[in-house]
Amino acid sequence: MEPEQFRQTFLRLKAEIQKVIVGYEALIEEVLTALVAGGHVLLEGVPGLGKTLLVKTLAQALELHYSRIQFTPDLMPADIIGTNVVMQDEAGRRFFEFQRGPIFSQIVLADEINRATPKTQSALLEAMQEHAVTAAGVHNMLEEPFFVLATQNPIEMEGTYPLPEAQVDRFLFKLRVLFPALDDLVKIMDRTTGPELPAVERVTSGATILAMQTLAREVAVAAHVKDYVARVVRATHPEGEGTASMAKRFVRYGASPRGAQALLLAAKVRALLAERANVSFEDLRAVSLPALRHRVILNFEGEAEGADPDDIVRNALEETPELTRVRR
Amino acid sequence: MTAVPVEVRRLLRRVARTLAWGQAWAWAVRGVTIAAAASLAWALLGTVIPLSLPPLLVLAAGLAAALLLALARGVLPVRDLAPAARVADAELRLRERVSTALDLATGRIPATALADQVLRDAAATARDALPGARLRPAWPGGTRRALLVVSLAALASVLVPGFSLPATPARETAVRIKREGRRLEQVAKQLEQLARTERAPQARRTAPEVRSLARELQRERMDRSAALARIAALERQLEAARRQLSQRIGEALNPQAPAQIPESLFRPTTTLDQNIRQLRELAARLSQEQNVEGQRDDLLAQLAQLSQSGEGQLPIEARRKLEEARRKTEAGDTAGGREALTEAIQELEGLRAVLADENALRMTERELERSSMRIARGAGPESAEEVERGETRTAPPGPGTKRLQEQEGEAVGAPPQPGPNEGSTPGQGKIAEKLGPQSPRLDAEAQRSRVRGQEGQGQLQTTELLGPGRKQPARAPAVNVSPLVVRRADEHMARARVPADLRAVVRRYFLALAQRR
Repeated sequence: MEPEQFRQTFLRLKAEIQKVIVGYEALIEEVLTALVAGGHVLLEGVPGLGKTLLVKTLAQALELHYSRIQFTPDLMPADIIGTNVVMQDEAGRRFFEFQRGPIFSQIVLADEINRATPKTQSALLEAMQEHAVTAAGVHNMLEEPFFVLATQNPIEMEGTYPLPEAQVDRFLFKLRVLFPALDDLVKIMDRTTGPELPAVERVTSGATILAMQTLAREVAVAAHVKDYVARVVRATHPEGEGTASMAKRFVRYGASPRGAQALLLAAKVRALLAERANVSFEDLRAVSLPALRHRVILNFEGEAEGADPDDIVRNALEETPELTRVRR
Repeated sequence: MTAVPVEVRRLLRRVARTLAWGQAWAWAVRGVTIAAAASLAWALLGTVIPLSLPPLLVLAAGLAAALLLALARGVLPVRDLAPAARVADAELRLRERVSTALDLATGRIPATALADQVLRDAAATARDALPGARLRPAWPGGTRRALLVVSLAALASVLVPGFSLPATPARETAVRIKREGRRLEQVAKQLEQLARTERAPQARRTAPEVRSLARELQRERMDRSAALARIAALERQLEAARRQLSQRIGEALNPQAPAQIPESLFRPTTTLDQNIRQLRELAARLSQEQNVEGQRDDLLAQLAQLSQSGEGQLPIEARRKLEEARRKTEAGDTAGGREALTEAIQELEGLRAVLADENALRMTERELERSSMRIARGAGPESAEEVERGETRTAPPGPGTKRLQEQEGEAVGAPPQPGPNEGSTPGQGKIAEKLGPQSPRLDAEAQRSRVRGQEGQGQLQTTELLGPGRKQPARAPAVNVSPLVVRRADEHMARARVPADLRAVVRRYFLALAQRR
């Protein structure tokens, strides 16, 4: 695949989703970036903002297998992965057969993921990281591309189970779905309450997405740009060299190495979209908030002060110089 | 590895050169600051310790060294283009195209499938950027500080020299310089006297200069380096004048080898004086007409002896005149002989005046050199020569010294012996026994006495009081908690599921606890 083809496909996909989803241009672009970078997305927002519709539209535009799992407190891991069921053949012999769960799709919507118990949440771990599921000792590979979009409600915390750090860390991006602007709200009403609902056409296939993922990894990164990524991630930690001032005060644990990977992969995708075959500092800055905000764990003071992880990441970016060894 | 595109290389070289000069400028600023600070410190140090180098010279040398170093940095070729690539990307907004291309071309990062496109992209970007690729001149940090320090150092190097703190070596040197000034004033007077008695023109011209130097040395603010410089300047001047005089004397005595001047000429009672006296005597004899006839032979013999023996001791012109006088007298031309003799005497007197000048300059040079040495030595011990000449003042004898020496039967002036432990002179002995008899003691025994009290009489009553307790601080004061415990508490609090609306309350509680500590 050529970079220009990559860009055209991306833009067509975005335009197709925008037929249904009003506004949220940046959000759509970030979701697609995560998809092309081969990562998963955690969407955070109050109900009714179109999160589910976004995922559904994406699946339609890509013509991929789509499944939705509504997470509830009584949901069990087997409900997600699948289970062995006793079957009977024509001869009357009984045998176990593995019945695949909804995880065996290409686009999985984990709706209100924080309503399920940590045990159930952990059922997604292997699938998200290795794109495989092990059930009853059998290792089952998931079909590529595999993309998980999870949603959670930041307000209604009663009876919820916050995602463990290990689980959160596996999401490439955490995106905040904000309330639409006034004009967009009017457009949403027009588009959804009329006689005809907009139809979504298939833009590209899963194979193309895989080719895009491969191409994105070919984008070159200068040595000092990689060094900058490492320093930014290091700056989010409360201890050590180059720590940012806010991280020192409000952070218990900083971003993990997965954060650095996420930052770089997403920046590569953004570089291709900007018609470049190399990553720039601008790309990194653009994707740093969604890639790092959920990996910064606040300490008690940070929680009590209501510190925003976005501010901490911004502060780390501000206090980390891009050029360190060059003096003018 | 692939080759760096030509456009990229050209752009990077241009940026690298700009960077090198920028760095040179920064080096210059830093070097100038350091040099100025050193000069400032040197000037301040001069108020405590006498210094031979003036602060202005230190400042000038430091500035020159810093600027030379910076110039060398700017001229040196740039080998590593990576920093230039990064700066070019940042300053010309090239979105890291150039630095990535350079990294790919030099093998700093592994090649990818898109490497060719990166290189092409960088070349195109560099081509577009080249015509106007001018980096903004960077103002190196610390320039204002450097200017401030240089100004302070310049002011200090002008104003501070000559100031000295009391009771410091610098102050002692200042006193020494003034003393030398007074001494040189005496030398100037001697010179004037010499110029009058010996009719030495050069000595007459030199005396005001020595006096001027002496007065300068006695000024309020004169530091060692300036004093030495002034003395050295006058010494050089006198040396040049003396050399000219020596040359003239040498030429007058022997034109073939002007440098050879007999040492006897410089002695205070020279052969020259004797010769002049002798010639005057001869001239007087020639003037007496009646004696001429009778003593002619003797006179002619003396003239012949003088003209022959004076080779190397008398000027050649004087010898020629003597010979002429002898010939004329022998021929019977007494008047002509007397006239030639008079001219010879004038020649000799002229030489004598030059010699006096030469001696005066030599003496002045010696005195200047002595002053220079004393000032350079500062407040240290004086030389054996000075001690011999009685120039160093001995410490006045302390009270009781004379009496002590008389008691011991020694002559006044002899060094003190390890002596008795009395008087006001510092003794060198040790106290072996207590001085004088023991003072009388009270002949009484110690008695212990106490006052007896009286036991109280009456009833003892105990009552239980019920009521609020008195407010007083807790008996167990709040103490600092171990950092380990604090850390664990913080971690537990961070993990605890504290409801959002109660977090502020919990925080206030712990802050209040911290304030009580």
